[in-house]
Amino acid sequence: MPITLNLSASLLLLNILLRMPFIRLFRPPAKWLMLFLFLALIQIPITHISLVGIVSGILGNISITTTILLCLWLLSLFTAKPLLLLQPIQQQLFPLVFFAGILLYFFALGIVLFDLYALGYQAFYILLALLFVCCFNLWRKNFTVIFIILIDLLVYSASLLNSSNLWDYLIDPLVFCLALYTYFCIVLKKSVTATR
Amino acid sequence: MTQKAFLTLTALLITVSFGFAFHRASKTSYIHEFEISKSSSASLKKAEAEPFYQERFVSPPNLANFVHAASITEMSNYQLRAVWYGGSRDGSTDLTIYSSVFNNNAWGPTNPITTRKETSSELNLLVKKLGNPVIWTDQNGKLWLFYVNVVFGGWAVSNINFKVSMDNGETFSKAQKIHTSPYLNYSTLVKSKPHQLTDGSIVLPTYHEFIGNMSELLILNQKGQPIDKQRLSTFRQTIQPEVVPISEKKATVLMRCSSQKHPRNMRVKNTKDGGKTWSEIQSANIPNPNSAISSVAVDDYGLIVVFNNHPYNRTNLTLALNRDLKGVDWQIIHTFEQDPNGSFSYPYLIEDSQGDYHLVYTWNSKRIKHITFNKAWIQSKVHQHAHHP
Repeated sequence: MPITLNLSASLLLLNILLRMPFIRLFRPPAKWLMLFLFLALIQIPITHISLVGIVSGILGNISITTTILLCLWLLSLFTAKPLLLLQPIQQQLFPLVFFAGILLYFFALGIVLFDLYALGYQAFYILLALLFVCCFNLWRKNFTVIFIILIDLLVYSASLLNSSNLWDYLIDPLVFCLALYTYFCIVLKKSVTATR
Repeated sequence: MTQKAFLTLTALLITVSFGFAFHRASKTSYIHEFEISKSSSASLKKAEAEPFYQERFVSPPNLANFVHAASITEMSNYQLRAVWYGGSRDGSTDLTIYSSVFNNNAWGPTNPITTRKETSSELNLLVKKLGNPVIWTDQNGKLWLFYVNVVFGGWAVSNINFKVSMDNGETFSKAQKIHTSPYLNYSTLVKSKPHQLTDGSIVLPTYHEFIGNMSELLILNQKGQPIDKQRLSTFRQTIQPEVVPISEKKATVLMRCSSQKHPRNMRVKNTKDGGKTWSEIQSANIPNPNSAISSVAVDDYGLIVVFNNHPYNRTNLTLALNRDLKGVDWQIIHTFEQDPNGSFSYPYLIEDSQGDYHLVYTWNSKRIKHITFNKAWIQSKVHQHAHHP
């Protein structure tokens, strides 16, 4: 079991556990202690499988993009610096995730013979598209989305996830739903502002 | 750091990262040619043989309340191994994958290969139930066991695992998961025989049942990692593709019809370029009551298929022959089972290295049955039907 898969599920659980109401009352030094304690507890098998295993089994492959966001979200419990990336993530990354996800999940339904997910195995064309995206964002000086893509690609190159499909490193339903939710909040906010 | 230096560094990181990624992606090429293994002894035996037909049961009568989805392979030691799943009922959490070896004209003891708990521990993932085991021997003698597991819900949200054995099934490796779908890896199942390509890659027929039903082919490298995927049908048309290689470049794929519209007939596609492209879907002239089929090519004779010859149910199990290798026009030549109160399903048909054919199938959900026959028997049935239609 690759480390990255358990890391993603661990990060998700830690984010949920450390945001429980009574935990938020603790100060940072105690929060660090709680983090390591929870990290150990969620790895311990209950009967034959740990809480991390249960979450991994349900959610499957969590992408590296989601893993990065979970890391930042967890760090935001201890320092305000990750919050500086919130706006670039919303403005640069989420539109890309939303657009890619709409296409990916639509074609995966099998309505037509073309399958965008299949291109992730023979990933040449997806990589060309990503190269174009990175060059465009380099010209626009949008570094957040570039570095997230580069981290995704480096993990893909090292084959650190169970999957051999590039899409599984870039996107998953979790980050797509988050991008979708963010997009609808923005649209709703704009429509409310416009009606005032 | 100045902005210009930062931009330069970023451009350099882009170059390096994409360089590694393109290099990784370049390792997924494969050759579109089916491996066609022909045994000269098999051909000789077929030419000389008398018609041969035998029936027996694989699984013992009281193994489990419910058994289903058997598959069979000839191992490198020329013995046959069958696998199937069984438990208290279909979809229960106590489903186990069982195996037995055919030796000295009899099936040996039934042994469990893996359980839900074992697979769950090996994968360190939640597993609710197992099913649909497919056993297969590659050209190097390695035994592959593909099977599905469900985390929650029904079979529609399955995903595929595999184990390998280097000692003809005495021991198997730990389970490994195959990632095939962007929907949290849900909804890919196996049923039909894998095939090898000339470069050693593996063609694994798969299908989806989540929202839309569709047939696909998954191409795996020799480590069991997917390197390509091809969709054969679209939304709610077919599932459970059965690939029948005819030559290195030609193959026919037969598919179970999962459409809600009647009449339902078996669906067919052909390829002439080793699977790079496939023809449009056609309907065969035999019915398919949304049930599994299994087929092999008979040397210099045609294709044979085992199927349920009824528009609505599985109360019979029938053998048909197609002479032009295109899989559209079939001639019924024999009925293996016929019982209005019975249920005969999930046939799995192979040819062994001696040229004999082995069929295993679910017999009334209680036992797995095994039928052996040869080419001379098939020819005798064709002759019989020609004179007594």
